[in-house]
Amino acid sequence: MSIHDQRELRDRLGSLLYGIEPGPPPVVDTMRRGKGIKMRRWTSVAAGVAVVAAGAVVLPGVLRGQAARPMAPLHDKVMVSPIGAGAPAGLIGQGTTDGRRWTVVMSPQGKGVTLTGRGLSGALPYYQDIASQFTPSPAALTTTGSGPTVLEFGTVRADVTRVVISLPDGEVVSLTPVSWRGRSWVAVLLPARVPIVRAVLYTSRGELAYAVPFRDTQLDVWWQPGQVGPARLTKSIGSGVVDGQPWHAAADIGPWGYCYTVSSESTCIDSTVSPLLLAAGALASPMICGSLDSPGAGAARAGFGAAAVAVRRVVLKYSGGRTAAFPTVAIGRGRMFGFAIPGGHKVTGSLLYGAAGQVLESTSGAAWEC
Amino acid sequence: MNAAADAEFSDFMHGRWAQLVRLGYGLTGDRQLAEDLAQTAFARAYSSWGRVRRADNPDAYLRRIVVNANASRFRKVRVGEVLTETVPDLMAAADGATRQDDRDALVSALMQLPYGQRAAVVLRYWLDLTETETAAILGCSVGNVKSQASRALAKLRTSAALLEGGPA
Repeated sequence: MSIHDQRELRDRLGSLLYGIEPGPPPVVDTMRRGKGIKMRRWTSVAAGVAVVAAGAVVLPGVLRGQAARPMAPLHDKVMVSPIGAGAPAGLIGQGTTDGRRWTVVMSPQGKGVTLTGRGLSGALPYYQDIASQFTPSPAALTTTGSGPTVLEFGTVRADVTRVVISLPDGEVVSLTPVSWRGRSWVAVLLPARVPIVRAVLYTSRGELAYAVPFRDTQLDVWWQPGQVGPARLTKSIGSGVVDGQPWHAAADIGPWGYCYTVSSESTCIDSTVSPLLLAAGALASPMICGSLDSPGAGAARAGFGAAAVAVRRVVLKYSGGRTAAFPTVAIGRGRMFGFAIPGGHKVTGSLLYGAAGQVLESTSGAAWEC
Repeated sequence: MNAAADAEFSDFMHGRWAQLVRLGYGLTGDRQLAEDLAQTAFARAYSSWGRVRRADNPDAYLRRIVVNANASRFRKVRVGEVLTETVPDLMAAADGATRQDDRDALVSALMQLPYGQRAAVVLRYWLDLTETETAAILGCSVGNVKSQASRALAKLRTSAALLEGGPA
């Protein structure tokens, strides 16, 4: 056959190239190569500088007194002020961050609560169901806001007396929980560009738990003192194109826990075995699902789920009769998978296949509503 | 780079890896080489991540690296390659020729194109880039892209690989 027009060429190229399914991206190795390139670049610059410096040496006094300039600090200072007994109800934090004074106040609003305050930047959240949002085990902290600062806040277990947050330049911020509506709250305004290095919870008996953040500030998994998180590993658990939009689901494992990301939404758990999966008694279940585009009933969605070790492939059946297969990927003691749902479609059922291609379970679509 | 930048780069790479490998495959016809080219592009992007992430079109930057890295590979191995007027003998397609045969035929036909024409075809007709975008990546004029793509199409119409390798 011959190629007569551009459309046919487009179709055939699409068929050829979308038929190529690359393995997971070698992120760590690529970063290592990138660092090597950067190092060589710097070496070249340094060599050039050395030549210039050598020339300068022959002119006595030119370089004398040129002390090395210290690196600029990442930020100025984070200070948290204690909240006295006579403070207004709902005031859970106050202080100064990089010279900017701030306060954080929790207020009841309708059936939920809202955050207000002074010196905060970006949209602040409103929580309809505060009880389920913050169930500390032993802490439930979240990051909100945008702009030059972000707000790290949430609840801690009742016996926590202090939360210590370490920042990269050695600065340590100590927070004292404040009681409001039967829960212990902490809040601190942090410079947006400064990642948390580690957070530690203390009770009157000593250290209770610690957390290492995923992506700078996401403190999801709390380890007991002496407990070490898993070794670092990044793995793709699914990718593809749905309604013309690429989607990708990845597992990022490390001292922050087992974190899974799809469409910029991340969640971290402390085990490879999904608690949702165990609770449901199912062989596979979705854990997070979100719109790829602007949220809406007609938007394509992507998500990830957990599967039992025996499940090697998850086939979703969509309304309209289409199906799509998503392989599961071994992560520690469990298996995970990414999946996508075309816009305007629902999942009407799923088939779970084992290693030998046998059907292990057939489920209804109800479990896949997201 | 700090952990945040690394995580951002990781996301960036995850989201574009497959497409860049496919672009590399369209240019080389070799999957291993395609992954090498894609990794080279990402490694260079990582080495200048601060600049790349602020770029208006980081995808164009990556594609340019892949296209150029492959072009320089061509220059390095030119002596070892023998370009022929006709394609090597291909097995005649049996009845109900498989999809794989069809793909092999297209790869073979693409690899017979001069590199500039091949790159123009893949960028224009697979990635659906405009002539201006293609010209920016190839570092040539829009007129040059038009003529490269036009010549490539003419060659593909009469390609022996496609005539023999595809379904009847």
